[in-house]
Amino acid sequence: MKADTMYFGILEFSEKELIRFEEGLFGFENRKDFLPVAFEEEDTILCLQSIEDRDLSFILMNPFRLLPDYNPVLQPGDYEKLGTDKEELISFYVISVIRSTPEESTVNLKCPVAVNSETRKAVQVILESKEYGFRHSLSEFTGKEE
Amino acid sequence: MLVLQRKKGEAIVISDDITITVADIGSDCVRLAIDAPRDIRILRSELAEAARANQEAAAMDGSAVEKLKNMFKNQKDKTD
Repeated sequence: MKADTMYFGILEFSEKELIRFEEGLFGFENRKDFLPVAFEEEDTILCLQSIEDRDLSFILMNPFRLLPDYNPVLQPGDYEKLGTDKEELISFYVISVIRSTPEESTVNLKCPVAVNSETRKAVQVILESKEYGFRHSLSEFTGKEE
Repeated sequence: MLVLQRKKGEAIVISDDITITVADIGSDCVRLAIDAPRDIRILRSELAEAARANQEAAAMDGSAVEKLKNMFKNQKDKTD
């Protein structure tokens, strides 16, 4: 399969690389199939590109690299949508908004993307926890990395 | 802002065709029953906020990635 992408031009990929959001992402409910593309070899930052819409792509980060004790608690319905309740199969990513400086850039710890790494079914959730907000400045985390 | 006090089972009516009834009251949450025409959009406010946050994230252009790489690079330089 092939798709035009925002950052990488036309990419060729196999169907099993895709991540499927049966319910879409919040505000983008009609886009279901996304291709994850790593920006660097390590999986700290990756791009989630819609294969249905070249202009729809998100920049995701590994929340545990920002905040090692990040603790997303899913609801029973989320496990159902993911088709598993085995925590070791579920990967989490957070969506970021990149502006010119870390102070102005934000990550949404409140609404992580959870992916079943076996079936690649995914869901975006809204965590109940009051600790996590929609817009944490990236500067909150700088210096905390090793 | 209008603030009203309602008991369990009581309701408020908004412009004739929307009725919101307090179905149940728990220790830290209430259940609301909403009767409204089909074309009225009803969202939990955090859902609307989640959609707004995603829209901001999707509105970035291609320069976002370079900025991000620079941020991480600068950070590494500082710690090195």
